[in-house]
Amino acid sequence: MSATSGAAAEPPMVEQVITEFFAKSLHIILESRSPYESSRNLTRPSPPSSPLSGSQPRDRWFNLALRDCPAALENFDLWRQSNLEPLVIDIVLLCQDSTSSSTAGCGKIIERWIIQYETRNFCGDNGNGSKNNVRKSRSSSGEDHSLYRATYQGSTVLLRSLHLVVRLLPAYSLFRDLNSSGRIRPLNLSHKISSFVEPFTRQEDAEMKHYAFAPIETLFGRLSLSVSYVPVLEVVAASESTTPVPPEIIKDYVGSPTTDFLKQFNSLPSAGIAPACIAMNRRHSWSIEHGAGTSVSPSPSPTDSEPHGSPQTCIPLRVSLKRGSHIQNASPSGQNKYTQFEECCHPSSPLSPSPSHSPSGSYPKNPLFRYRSTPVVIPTVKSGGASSRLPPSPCSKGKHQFSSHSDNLAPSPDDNSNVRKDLVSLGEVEKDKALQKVLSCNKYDLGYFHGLKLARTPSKLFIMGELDEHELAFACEDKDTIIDQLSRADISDREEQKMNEDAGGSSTRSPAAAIGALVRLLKTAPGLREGLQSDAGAVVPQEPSSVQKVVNEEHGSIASSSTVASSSLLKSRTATDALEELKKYREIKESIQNRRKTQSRDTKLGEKQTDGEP
Amino acid sequence: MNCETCQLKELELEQDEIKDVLRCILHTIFFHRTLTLVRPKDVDCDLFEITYVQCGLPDLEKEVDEKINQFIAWVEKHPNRRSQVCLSFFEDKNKNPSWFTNKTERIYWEQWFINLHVASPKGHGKSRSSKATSIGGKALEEARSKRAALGLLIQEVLFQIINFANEKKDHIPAISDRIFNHEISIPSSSDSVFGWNVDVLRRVLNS
Repeated sequence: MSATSGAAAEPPMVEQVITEFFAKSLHIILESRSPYESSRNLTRPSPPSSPLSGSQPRDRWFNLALRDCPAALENFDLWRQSNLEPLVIDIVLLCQDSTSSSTAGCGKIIERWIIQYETRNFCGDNGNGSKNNVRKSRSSSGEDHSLYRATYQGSTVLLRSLHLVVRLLPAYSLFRDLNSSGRIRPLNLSHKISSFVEPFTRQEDAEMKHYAFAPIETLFGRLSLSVSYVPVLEVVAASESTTPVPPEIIKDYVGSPTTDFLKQFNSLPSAGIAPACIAMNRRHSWSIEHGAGTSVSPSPSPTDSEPHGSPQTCIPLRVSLKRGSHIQNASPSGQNKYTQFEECCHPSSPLSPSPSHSPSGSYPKNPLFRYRSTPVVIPTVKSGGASSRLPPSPCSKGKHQFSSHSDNLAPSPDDNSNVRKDLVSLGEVEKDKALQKVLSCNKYDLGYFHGLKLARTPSKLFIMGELDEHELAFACEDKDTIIDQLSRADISDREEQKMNEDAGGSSTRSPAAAIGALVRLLKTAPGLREGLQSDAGAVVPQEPSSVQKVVNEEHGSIASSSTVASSSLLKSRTATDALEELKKYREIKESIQNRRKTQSRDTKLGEKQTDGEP
Repeated sequence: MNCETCQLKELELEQDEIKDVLRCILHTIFFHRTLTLVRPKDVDCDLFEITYVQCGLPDLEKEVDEKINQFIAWVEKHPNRRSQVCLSFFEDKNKNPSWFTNKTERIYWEQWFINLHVASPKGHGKSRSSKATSIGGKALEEARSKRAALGLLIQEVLFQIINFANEKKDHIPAISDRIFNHEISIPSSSDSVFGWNVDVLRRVLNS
């Protein structure tokens, strides 16, 4: 390959450098722009076909060892006629039609690399004219060698710059994404090699930015390398999107108040998540204009397989699953979205407590809902203390305030202790059986307890009813909490003869019937205060504070749970519920206590009279 | 032989960004001035969306990391100051060889000055530790935009290196079988307010 006639020929060594410069440039560009070419691991370099090539393997020319050998290089020397012809490499972004397997579709030139050798006659360069005239007059081999060294050295530096620049341009990130992922994508990068410069349209030209490397001066001409590129690649990154999370999944995990919850959350992506996605798309829409701001692609989809391993694609999933209460608090401003993003990347960060929902406002108008949730929601904290908890027993004093219940919860008189012990033993046996059934379930198994369908995950127990699973599903965090709640419900059943049948109910009862039984059970259940009596840490004198203390203890026991937000929400909701229930229990209890008091008084009076009679 | 100097644009960065920035810039310069056989290695910046190229020489990587660590240690003692890291290429030449002395002289043929302004990270730390959502969100947004701006500036610096490295080539010594002699100078404790190395300044004046 040599210069055409009519132009002064470079020394052979310089000519060889120019030839190899073209080949090396093509190699560097295709290695970083042709996804499938560069994936070929050809360790052995292709032997140079030009007779002028030296003993140095082609990949080691310019002291730049490149491993991959694109297929385009194999026939490069054959079709290339002259060094005077420019080498034009167009990088084309192909949008493949999903319906067809061919590459037909839109194709846009996103980069054009032009490598050319211009002789002194054509380039009309006057800057180094004097130097070249001096060079022309010298024809000694020593000078040729120095010319060769200067050309080779300059080419070496230039090719290193080329190796760097191809990685700084926007198309490189697209190339990396296409290369790294084995999935078939609607986008593809292709290249076109030609020896003529097809002019851009006006629109294309206006869109393109240009960068020219410093040329390499030779004896009779100069080597130049330039690139025209699209600074902003509006690549739809939907092909790399994560599996979308269906809202149904979210609903299954969140209880009824989250119905409104979800509505608020669904409005968030447009305001809260999209800007974060735009920031993540920075790699695909990138301007390296000096001093220019970052050009951001309007693509709203999060990207995947980021070269930096960022977990940004998980934002919708993580936020929806874990940060329910926090989303509730988030306003559709730009500030809070970053907090959500931050919390996604730092899942261990504590959540801000969510405001408790007003039951009347957010709860559905289902009178049964409240009763369904209550027995499971009001826990006691003491681990393993289920067996020590005494069943609610009739109190000797009938006071209306919770403060008086402390007296009632004090070590009971003998007349109640036997009853209590019997109830405990009964409760223990039955409770153990039922609890064993529930707690021995495998992960995600369903179990039945008192006709209620229970689903268990490793950390949570879900109680679901037939009527509205979204309303009923909520989590019980602690195993001991589950035990206590179920045991209380169990023990409450045995208080009344009417409930015994329900307490011993089979697991085959319909959920509606079970719910009705549970409602009856709750209505007639003695005060919760008695159930907490044996719990050493749960004795609370005051009525409101005792409930709060129970709730606080519940908080303390499950504070380390990863679903603090949802549990706190449930706690606040059920605490309110519990207070209302307790009020009712109080009334019921007082009536029962009064009844028993009168009964016991009558009995005592009867005994005294019997004993006291002379 | 003239000593070509290149003053790179000043970069404002935080302490945790020093390593990434200096690695990127120093290795880019070395990649352009290591004309021996190299097998280039692509490296992604940890904090920026930039891929730069290293020479793939383990000794050089180790040397660069050591100098960066020394610089970071210096910055920790002298926070919130402008400083320079200087990468110099030189040749050793015998100066007035005689029977008794064999003094060699360093002749610097190229120097690169990396100008940095390391900001104190205290303000950002407080905002990040704040539990208030709005304050944390604002700080994060500011940090992200600042980092994005720094990323653009780093790219400008890289192009500055590319332009200088290609425009000034005639002074480069002949390619040998090993990399050119070089040294990386960082500010020392006895330096002036601007962290200039007195020796570097003397050499610049003498060149």
